[in-house]
Amino acid sequence: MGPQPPATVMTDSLLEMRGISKSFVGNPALIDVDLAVRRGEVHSIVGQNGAGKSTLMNVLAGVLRPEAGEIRIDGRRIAIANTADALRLGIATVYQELSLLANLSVAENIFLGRTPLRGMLIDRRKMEADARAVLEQVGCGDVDPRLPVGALPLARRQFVEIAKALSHEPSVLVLDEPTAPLGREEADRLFRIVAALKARGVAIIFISHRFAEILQHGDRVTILRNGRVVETLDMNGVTEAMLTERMIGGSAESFYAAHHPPEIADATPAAELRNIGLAGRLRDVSLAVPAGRIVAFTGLLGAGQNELARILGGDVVPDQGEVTRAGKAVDHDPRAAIRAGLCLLTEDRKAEGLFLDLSVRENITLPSLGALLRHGIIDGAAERRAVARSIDQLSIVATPTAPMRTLSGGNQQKAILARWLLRDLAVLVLIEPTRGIDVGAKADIYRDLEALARLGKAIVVISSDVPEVLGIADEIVVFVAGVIHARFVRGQVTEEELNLAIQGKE
Amino acid sequence: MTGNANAMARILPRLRHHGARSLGTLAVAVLMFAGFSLTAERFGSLPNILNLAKQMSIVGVLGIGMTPVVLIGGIDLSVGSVVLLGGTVAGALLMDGAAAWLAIPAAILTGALVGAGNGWLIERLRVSPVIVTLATMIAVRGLGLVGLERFRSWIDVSNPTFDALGVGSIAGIPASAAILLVIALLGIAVLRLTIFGRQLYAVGDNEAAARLSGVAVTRVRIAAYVICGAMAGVGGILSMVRTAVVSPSIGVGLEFSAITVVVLGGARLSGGVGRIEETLVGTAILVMVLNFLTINGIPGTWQTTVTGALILLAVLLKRGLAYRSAR
Amino acid sequence: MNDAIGRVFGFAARHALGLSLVLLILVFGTLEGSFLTPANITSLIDQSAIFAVLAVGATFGIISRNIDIAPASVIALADVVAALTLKGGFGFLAGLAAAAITTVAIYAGHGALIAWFELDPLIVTLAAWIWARGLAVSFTNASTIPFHSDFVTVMNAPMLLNLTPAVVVAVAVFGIGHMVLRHTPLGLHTYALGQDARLLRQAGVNPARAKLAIFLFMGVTTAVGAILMLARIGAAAPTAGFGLELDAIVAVIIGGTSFKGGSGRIANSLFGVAFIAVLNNGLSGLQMGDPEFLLLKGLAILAALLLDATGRRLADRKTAIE
Repeated sequence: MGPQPPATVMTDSLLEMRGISKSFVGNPALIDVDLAVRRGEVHSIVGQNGAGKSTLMNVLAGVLRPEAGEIRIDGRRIAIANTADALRLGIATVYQELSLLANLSVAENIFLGRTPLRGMLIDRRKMEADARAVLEQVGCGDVDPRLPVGALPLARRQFVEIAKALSHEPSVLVLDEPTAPLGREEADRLFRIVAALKARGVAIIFISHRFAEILQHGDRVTILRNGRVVETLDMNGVTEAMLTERMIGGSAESFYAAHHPPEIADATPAAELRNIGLAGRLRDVSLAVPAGRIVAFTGLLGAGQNELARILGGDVVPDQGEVTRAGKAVDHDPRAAIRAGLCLLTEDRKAEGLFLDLSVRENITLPSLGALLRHGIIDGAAERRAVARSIDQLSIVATPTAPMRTLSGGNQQKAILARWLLRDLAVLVLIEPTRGIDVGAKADIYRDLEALARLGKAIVVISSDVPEVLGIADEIVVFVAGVIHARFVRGQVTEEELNLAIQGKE
Repeated sequence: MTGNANAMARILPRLRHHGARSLGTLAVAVLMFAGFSLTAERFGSLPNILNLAKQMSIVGVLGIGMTPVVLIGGIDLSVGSVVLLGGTVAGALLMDGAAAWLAIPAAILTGALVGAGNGWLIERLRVSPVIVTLATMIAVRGLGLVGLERFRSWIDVSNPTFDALGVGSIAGIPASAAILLVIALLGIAVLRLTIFGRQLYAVGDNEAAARLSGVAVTRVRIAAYVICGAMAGVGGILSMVRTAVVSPSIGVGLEFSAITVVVLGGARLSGGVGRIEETLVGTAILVMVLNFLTINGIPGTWQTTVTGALILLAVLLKRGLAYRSAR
Repeated sequence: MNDAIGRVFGFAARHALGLSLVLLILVFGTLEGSFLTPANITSLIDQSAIFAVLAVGATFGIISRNIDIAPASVIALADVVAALTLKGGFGFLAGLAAAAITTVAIYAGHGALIAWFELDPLIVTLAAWIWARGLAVSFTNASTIPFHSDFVTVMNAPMLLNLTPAVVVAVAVFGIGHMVLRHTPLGLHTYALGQDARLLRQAGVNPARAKLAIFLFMGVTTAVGAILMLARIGAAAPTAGFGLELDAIVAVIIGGTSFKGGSGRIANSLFGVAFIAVLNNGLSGLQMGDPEFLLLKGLAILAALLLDATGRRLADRKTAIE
């Protein structure tokens, strides 16, 4: 077995993770990952969706336990058996998805798990006073800690999350995509807080896919790809291109698949959205979706692009307006949408796309069974043939009879895409289609979308990944606060301009 | 290419486990039969086996009806009361001079209507099926008893068709067991070969995904409850065939036996997993256990306790197996 | 004009059940001369003490998404154990202790099965619904075992405003339930579990331990119910309390606590208890046969649930448009 590493070593790192490995149902998520973070350092972690960033942070936070590897703080080996351990050891995490309970008050949320007591009852006065103090630290001194979290807007909730983490007085703070719901001013406020923490010697791990932020505020950066560490770099002299190259293991052009749109622009749009309104989300949005193109919707979290996509796909009923195909209005429900030639793939495939305990075959053929009938019952042979063709077309690595649960994220997404391809629809609406899948599968999907567009289908992609949007879209529509703020055509916008547009600036 | 080989290596063991669940329950049933026969001489005798077959018929039919409901993640606690109501409707028709070919479909239709009512209420109220069907369980039993009062709370069933079904047999199989078998085969065919069958599994596995895939989720769910009610109606007929009476106590507690056999068969209460073949095996297991107890002189009052304990045991075992295979 | 009608309609929708309760009281009052007499009202309140206590436990269960349909069967079993203890010559205190211990032990077992073995609460409590009452029947050979004790006499003697001590106990349980739900960490965990157990874990709390704590609390409230039942009947009857769990759960739902979990209040359940109590008392006062009673009660519960659901949907739609 070899000599054991000593329990305590001399080091200048506050936090060290060594040899961390973790897999899910046979699919490896982290392979032998090393990470070292110093006191007072802002250490960024970058990687594609599905590279392992969140898994690594979940291991650190005590949500997951690794199969191999060790974690040390100040050179001392520690064991993190659960989330309480992590917090006790001074590791606080601001999760990517908000971890606040909407029905509880701000103070109750901040002190959940260590509520101050007077006897057996909650000491509300102390709890609220303490909450006010820590909210002050994040510039939210005006928030009433008695308010239910659900009553606060998304951006404020993010700061409550940060306050919650800070109230643990951590020595290591993990920020997972903290600026996703924030506008420019609020993001600046966040970085001021980060600077103050740096000065106090807190080690900060900063996960983001916004290169501008990383280049501006980071001290070092670690790049992950497919569960492994590619490299750890000092930010001096690092460029975006360097980061991208390491993230995807190649050049950006080949990754996003060069797209040559047909010369003649088709006059009739594949679908139209007319005067769409949705309370609190969208205001009088009208848009034509062209055939044979890939159109990307993008914007900050909550800007309305997701809701518009769901309305287009028939999932959500708008308060006003209509969706039309060939001039005829389509009812606002999935069955009608599918009959009219529209389909929707959502960002949460586990909750809305996958039938985990059904076979891959059953997953793919569900909407198309009507065409596979013979004498009123399902024709098994025809079904098997159709599925074999789909698996081949999209290079899905799976046996048709395997339960969907056993596939990797990338193959699962491909199977959902196969489902809709089999149905042969005119308009495909995909929300964050490459979230949480490996680089190889991503490249495959980009290639497939490209091929579909060339076949004349209208592809609508909702994505918050700016490089992805720039790489694959023929047209880009930027949403800000429920309206269309800007529109760009491929090749006529830079990343900086697009980022500004997303922030609401010109 | 290596990617494919790796995937195969990962997937094959899981494939085996998937089918293992059904085979495992079947193995338990076979072992149980062997064990009981060896321990109690009378158990394995032909007359007792025929007896077991007959005893399986009512619970089995109800279990087959409960299976689609459990598949969509629901539950129907009113089937025992529907057995009474169906029996009352059929019995009343017979007493008023109607023929069997009218009375029998009437009972089934009654059950289907109650099922439709259950399904509609559950969809409308968006409250747990447990609560809705508990309430209908009470209301429907009341309705059945009210109807029975017209006949002084007792109907003697004397009808040539019913008599024939009670004593007759086809190729040595008692008529009621044959009916169970036919219904089972029909059910298996529907679940495996029809679009509706696939949609049931899809809705039970992931309702949101099913909806986005164009499945008429509400209709599928209500249909499941209609089937369950209709099968309970058949149960009412079979009950009349077995005892030749309609009395206030028929069907009491049957809903729990029905749920037990579905769970014993390996189905998941949260939906998406379950098969009619497995429910049949579960029925066999329940009937064998209760029969074995009776043969050994354990009083009937213990039957309820044993049924409840069996449910717990079955679920614990499943959890234990799932835990082990995940490692 | 339209606006006024709209507002009345909105009010009616939001308070559909409150208005129904008033309607029920009026209907019963008209149909039965004796309904609104002080004697009947005190009787009504006395009769609802037991399922009111169960409603407190059910509130916690529903908010935390741990449905529990076992309490009535567990009470039947616990009371049988108590009566047998008394019969064995151990004194009434030992009997009451036996009832309490049996109940809490079963609930602790359920909590362990659900929290650590991750079994579905429905199936575990459904199994208990079956086996607990089955055991009660088997132990007593389907007959009643008396529980003669001064305790029973005292509990049935009028104490405050002609109400029995059982009512005082029920009010106390409601008060304690409210305190625990709103002002203790256990209450916070109850709401958290109902929304998302994952978020509880991220805050450093072990969800399994939280679930167990909730089940223990439900066990304690059910134990109080068992003791009250023993006092009410003065015996252990294996068929006692049949349907009480439904009364309790329906009371909580009608009171406004959503079945989806994560929200709700004890005070709301009080209203639901009043509704069911009026329903029970009014229906039995109409002197009908068992069959008719069952039919009407079942229909009434369904109607109340429908009214609640429809009223809330209309109210939501109205506020969305405004």
